[in-house]
Amino acid sequence: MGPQHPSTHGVLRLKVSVDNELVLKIEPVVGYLHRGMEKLWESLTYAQVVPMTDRLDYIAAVSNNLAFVLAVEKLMGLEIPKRAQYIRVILAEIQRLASHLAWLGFMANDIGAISVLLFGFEDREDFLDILEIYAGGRLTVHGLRIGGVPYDLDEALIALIRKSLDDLPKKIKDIETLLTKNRIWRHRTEGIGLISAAEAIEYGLTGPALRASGVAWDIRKDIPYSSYQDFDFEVPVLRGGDVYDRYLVRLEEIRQSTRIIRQALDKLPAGEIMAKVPRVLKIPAGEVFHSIEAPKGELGFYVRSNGTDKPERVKMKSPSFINLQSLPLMCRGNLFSDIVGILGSLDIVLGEIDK
Amino acid sequence: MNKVSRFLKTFFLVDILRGLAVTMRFYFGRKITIQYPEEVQPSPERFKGILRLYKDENGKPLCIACKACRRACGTNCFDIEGVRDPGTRTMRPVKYDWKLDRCTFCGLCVEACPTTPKSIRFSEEFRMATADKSRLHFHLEDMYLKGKDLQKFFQGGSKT
Repeated sequence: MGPQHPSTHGVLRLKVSVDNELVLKIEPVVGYLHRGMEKLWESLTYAQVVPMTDRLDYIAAVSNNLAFVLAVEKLMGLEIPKRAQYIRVILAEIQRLASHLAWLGFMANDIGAISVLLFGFEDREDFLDILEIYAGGRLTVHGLRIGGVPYDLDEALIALIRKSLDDLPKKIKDIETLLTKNRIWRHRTEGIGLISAAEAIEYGLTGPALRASGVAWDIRKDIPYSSYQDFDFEVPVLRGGDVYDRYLVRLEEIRQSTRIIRQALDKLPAGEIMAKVPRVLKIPAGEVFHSIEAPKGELGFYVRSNGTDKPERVKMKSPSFINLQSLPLMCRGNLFSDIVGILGSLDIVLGEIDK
Repeated sequence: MNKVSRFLKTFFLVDILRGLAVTMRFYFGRKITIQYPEEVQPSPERFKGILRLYKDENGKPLCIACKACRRACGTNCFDIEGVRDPGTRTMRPVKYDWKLDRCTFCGLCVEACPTTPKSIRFSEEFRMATADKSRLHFHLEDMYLKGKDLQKFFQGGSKT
């Protein structure tokens, strides 16, 4: 399968050994979209790296920004104003909604429900519009800066966010009516792509896929960053470990994200939106690793600085790349036509896998 | 009872009909499609269209050739040279090359610009298609082109 295949979400090649319709072995071949990002960053200043991180997971650009920016700020020991932290949370959760809605569309389309693709993308457009009004970009947002956020949220934008959040439950309900009880959907997803909790941990699975296997691990809850400890939300955990449960976990995450955004908007403190950052950013020598809960899973950046304005080395722990490793295990013994559904349920983005 | 109701639900395709009802509601619902190019969606205030240089109200260029945008740029889009104006003692650009094909629309140059109002800004223009690759490289005079003139430039009209 692949590298040019409509269901691989990009240029991913899968070497599949089959016995008639049964999958015996599967081997992902990655690297078709390799752009040398990590090496490129070594020749850029820290501020210039931030817009480049938009291009990794292009479905969730703000999450990439947040992970890198937090890593650099941790290295600098910078204190971020509370208002900026809250705006960051709002943006990151809006991005999570957009990412999950896009995933819902892609995934349903892979299995054959084309109308859900259209509905999901229509709903996602509301949140992309918010990001566009906030920072000017729809996909490659460049919504965060080292030291804070570039723009403040004004009343009109807050009203728009609230309105979009109010509209969302009805739209999600429409999609649920189409899928959750639909017998074709259940036949194609229930008991497909099974992975147990122990295997998931062994393979380093993170994000919604891990939580669908019964492991309650969410970095937002367990190692809070950027003031996530201020908000009250639940981490949805299911025990099935199949494609259907991953779908349910993501739907629940959409609901929890709206809760977080509402709380953040209600509690939005007054104050500065940027910490004091020098114009030419020289980071003290040292190394740091910081990870966040991106829509796809644990996204981490390792940054090593030698005291100049450019990073000496940046290494990225991308959730899609690590989640893809468990694909062979999930596909074993399933039918060939289920590969597409299982791959879709992992929510991979090739820009992030190949970097 | 539960079994019977489940059988009836399965037999009469309740789940499928429910789904079809949703689809039909969308079919007769409000249309959200925008008929481009007859209709154009208004762009938000911070929209990142093509980068343009601006002049002040007297028609004088705002740019002071400080090269802050060139230093801020992560993709080496700019090549700038300036001379000191003997009359007003301010710097003016004589060469301002900008490469659209390298630009990532990140906005670092706009943030770095020290003049008020900013000399380099994002415009609302999003139509940047051209059949000639050399049209992606702008010189000083081309950086002020807007609207129809800009489209003419993209379509290979006289290079000003």
